[in-house]
Amino acid sequence: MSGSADNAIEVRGLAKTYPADRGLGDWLGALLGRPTGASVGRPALGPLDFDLPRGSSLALVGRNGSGKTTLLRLIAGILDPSRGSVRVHGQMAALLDLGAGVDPEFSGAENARLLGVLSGATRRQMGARIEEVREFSGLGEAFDDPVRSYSSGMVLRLAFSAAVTAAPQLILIDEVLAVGDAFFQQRCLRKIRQLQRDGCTIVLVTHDPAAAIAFCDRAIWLERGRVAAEGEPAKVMREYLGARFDDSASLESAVHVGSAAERAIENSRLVPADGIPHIDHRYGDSKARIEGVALRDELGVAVGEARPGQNLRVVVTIRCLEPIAHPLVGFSLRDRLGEIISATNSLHEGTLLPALEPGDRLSVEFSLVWPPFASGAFSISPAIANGSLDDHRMSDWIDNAIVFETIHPAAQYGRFRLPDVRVEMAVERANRDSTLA
Amino acid sequence: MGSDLARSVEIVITLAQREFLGRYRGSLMGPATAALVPLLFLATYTFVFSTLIPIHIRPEAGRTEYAFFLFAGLLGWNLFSETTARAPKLYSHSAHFVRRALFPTLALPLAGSLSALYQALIWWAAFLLARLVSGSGLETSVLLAPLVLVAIAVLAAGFSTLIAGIGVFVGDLSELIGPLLALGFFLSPVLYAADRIAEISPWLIRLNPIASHLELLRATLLEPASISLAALVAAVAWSGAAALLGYVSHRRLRPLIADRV
Repeated sequence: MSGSADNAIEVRGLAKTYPADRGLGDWLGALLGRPTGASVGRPALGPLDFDLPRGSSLALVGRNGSGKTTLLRLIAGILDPSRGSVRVHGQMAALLDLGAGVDPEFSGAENARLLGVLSGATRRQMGARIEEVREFSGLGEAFDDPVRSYSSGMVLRLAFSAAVTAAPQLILIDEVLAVGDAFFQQRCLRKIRQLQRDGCTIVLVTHDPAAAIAFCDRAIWLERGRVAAEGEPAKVMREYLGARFDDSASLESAVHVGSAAERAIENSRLVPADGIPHIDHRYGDSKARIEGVALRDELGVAVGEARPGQNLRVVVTIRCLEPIAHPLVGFSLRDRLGEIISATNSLHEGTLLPALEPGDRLSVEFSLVWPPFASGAFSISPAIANGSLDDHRMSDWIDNAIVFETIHPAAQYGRFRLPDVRVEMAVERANRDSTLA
Repeated sequence: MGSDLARSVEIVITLAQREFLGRYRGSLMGPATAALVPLLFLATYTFVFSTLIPIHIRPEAGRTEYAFFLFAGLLGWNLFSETTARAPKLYSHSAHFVRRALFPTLALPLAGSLSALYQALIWWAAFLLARLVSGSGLETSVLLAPLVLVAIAVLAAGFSTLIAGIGVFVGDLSELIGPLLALGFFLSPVLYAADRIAEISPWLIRLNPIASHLELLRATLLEPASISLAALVAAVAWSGAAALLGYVSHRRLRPLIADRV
């Protein structure tokens, strides 16, 4: 397969080995023109071979250290291959390190010019498009102020706007944009979609299967620097998540995908929660201690984000230290202002827990469907008590043990989206014969 | 390839302008400072080396004559030293650029030298102004001085590229560059004419990459009669050699730099 004008990226025998710490001889040798010889060091990637046709969108998935970011950096030309080659056709914008290269002493407009030039536009082009950047970034007046007065979110908005306004033909994205507020994120995603429609090629590195499936028409799953699976995103993600579930030692975050989820549910059993991410405040008579609390998706994978409609599991694991006749395990849910939004416990949900003896370990899992809350931070405070619903003594209570984000895909005012809202309308025109719409 | 080159040129020019303007951000008088700083330097050096520790460029030379002599020397030397002094840490200080997609690292030393050249051109204009104001008269050959400055900028760009490349691997270089440049300053015809150094050993001048440039610059600014073909050839040769040295070192070290910065 030789190079073709229809490909945006051509990768041939590409391999990267990060060099072991180079001594004096290595750089001096290189300077004097002696070939460096076979690189010794940590192999990170490859060899890989693939073509990415112009206009297609590729998702790179894999665990941390699987080589996906190395591949992205090789494509971006930030790293040089140890062996093989990567060829890129067309102007490229890399949304890898968005804030990099922004100078705080200069205004947003001045920075946008440089960032645009670094993304491949000419100075003249950027001069002509500067108003476009101003408008897209939504920075308004602040666009002419020194960047040192910006918040970090504003810097990212500026950088993103400058990069996409430079009219790239290939965009590299490392993790989906946590750029600014939800409104701006939506705008970024729309812009990327529009560039996609205009024939722009996209390479997206992501942990998020939902993003991979929504945005891409191809996916490559990297495992220890090699291609483990490649093809349609839905198929690749199924295999990827399937493998991740089998190997649950390395849990990060994931969102369910179709049959992978079903398979996972069949296989699932209650895995005790291990560890408490955070302790704000703790009290109780210590007849039992909370040993672990976890927020998981239906695959049993720990999540740091919740989406409306997502099936979530709150798992609380406790260790009994003194006999407890009527254990009650529950949790309360707080919003970012610390207000308790909701709370529940085992008995409240109709489950009677068995009496516990010292040394017993008990795990309780609450499965729930996440309500359509607006985006923001939430926390879970788990508790174990002894008694009845009306009369119980707290054994252990931990404030804000888990903090997580909820992401509502639609921009949203207020606390949550009203369920099942339907809109109908009737217009009565003033000037003409009145009509009902 | 052609578009790569065009893109790199765009980046060099943009970076140089930003660096040049950035230097006077937040300053009281903006770019006017660019002209004031050399005058302050000049006043200091003139005071020290004509009053405190007098250096006689020729027996009958007055203080004004020495001031202009010194001005011409400093103009060339500062263009060179300002660029090279920053070279050892150039890549690590601009790591956010070096780590950017498709960033041509060579743009950094080139932009540094170009921005110093802008600065030198302001010095040069200040020199012309000072000559007119003091009634010393202007030679037509002052118009050739910018060409010499360009040659010095090329020399500086070549050396800084080499130094910047090595600086990535040798941290001590940033400590050593100060004393090295101080030595270079005293072994170059800045405070005194080249003859003074040649008295010790003619090789100190022949092997000094910037000596011929400084002599040539001073000749175009003050004494067109003393413009020598030998100095011209030597200056062009040194600049060319430095450019080649910088280019080759960059090509060989670049793959290693990306892994290290």
